[in-house]
Amino acid sequence: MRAMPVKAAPLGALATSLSISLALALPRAASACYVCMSGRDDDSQRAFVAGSILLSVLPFFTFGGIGWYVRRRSRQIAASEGRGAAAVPHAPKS
Amino acid sequence: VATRSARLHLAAESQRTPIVPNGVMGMLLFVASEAMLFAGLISAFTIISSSALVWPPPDQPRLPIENTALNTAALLASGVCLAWAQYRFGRGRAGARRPLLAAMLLGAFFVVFQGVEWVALIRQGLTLTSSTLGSFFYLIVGLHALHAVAALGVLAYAWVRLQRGWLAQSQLATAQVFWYFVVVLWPVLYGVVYL
Repeated sequence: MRAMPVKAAPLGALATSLSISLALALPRAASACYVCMSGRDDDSQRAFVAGSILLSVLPFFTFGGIGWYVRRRSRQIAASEGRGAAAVPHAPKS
Repeated sequence: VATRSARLHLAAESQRTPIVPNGVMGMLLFVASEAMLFAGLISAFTIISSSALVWPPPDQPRLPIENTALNTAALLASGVCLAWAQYRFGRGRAGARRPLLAAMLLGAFFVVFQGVEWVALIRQGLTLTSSTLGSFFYLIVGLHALHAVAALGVLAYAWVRLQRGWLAQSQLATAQVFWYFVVVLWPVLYGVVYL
């Protein structure tokens, strides 16, 4: 009777399983940060909400403001160029 | 004929007014990114101060609210002077010299006054490492002061060019964007950090 060949566990599989185990353990470590532990009273929660709103809304306002300014300038220039073109008299045809 | 027409078209294109000058657009993008930086710092400061059991820390000196209110008024006045300089610039460049100089002097007064306050606070025991209040105070207010000094440099550059008759409207607008950012941001920081 012949014995079945036994392969040693590859190093790659060991590294993969170790990585998965670490990845599964990480969220527990993340939830223990200082900010998560401190944000339990009303004042802290209000500060968190205000900070989140500020950081979420500010990019829209800043870059939206720049876009609005560019659009306004574009219209002003188009209007002034239109007025300039209208003011130039047509050259007589020879 | 087609080549000549194409050349004329290209010449006309090159003479067209840019929608927003490059300098102004660059400064607007810089200011937008700096606004995000300050928003992050304000958010962190608000969370830390509201999470503390006692705020401000009892063993730390109080921030000079009244003196800084005077300083805030000086900075706001410098913003008004710069707006006046821009108005005068459009009606003859020479008329913009005095208001631009006044804006610079008021801005310099703000920075120097801040420095004097800092020296007094450090002597009273508020340092970068003495408490979280000290850390955030010097980080936020110091970063604003750094911007104020840089913007003063840009204003000074604009003023020198104005004196020599080389200042373009777009260069003044670029300096204005930077200085208005410094001016508008300060009352917000004063309200969050001092009050």
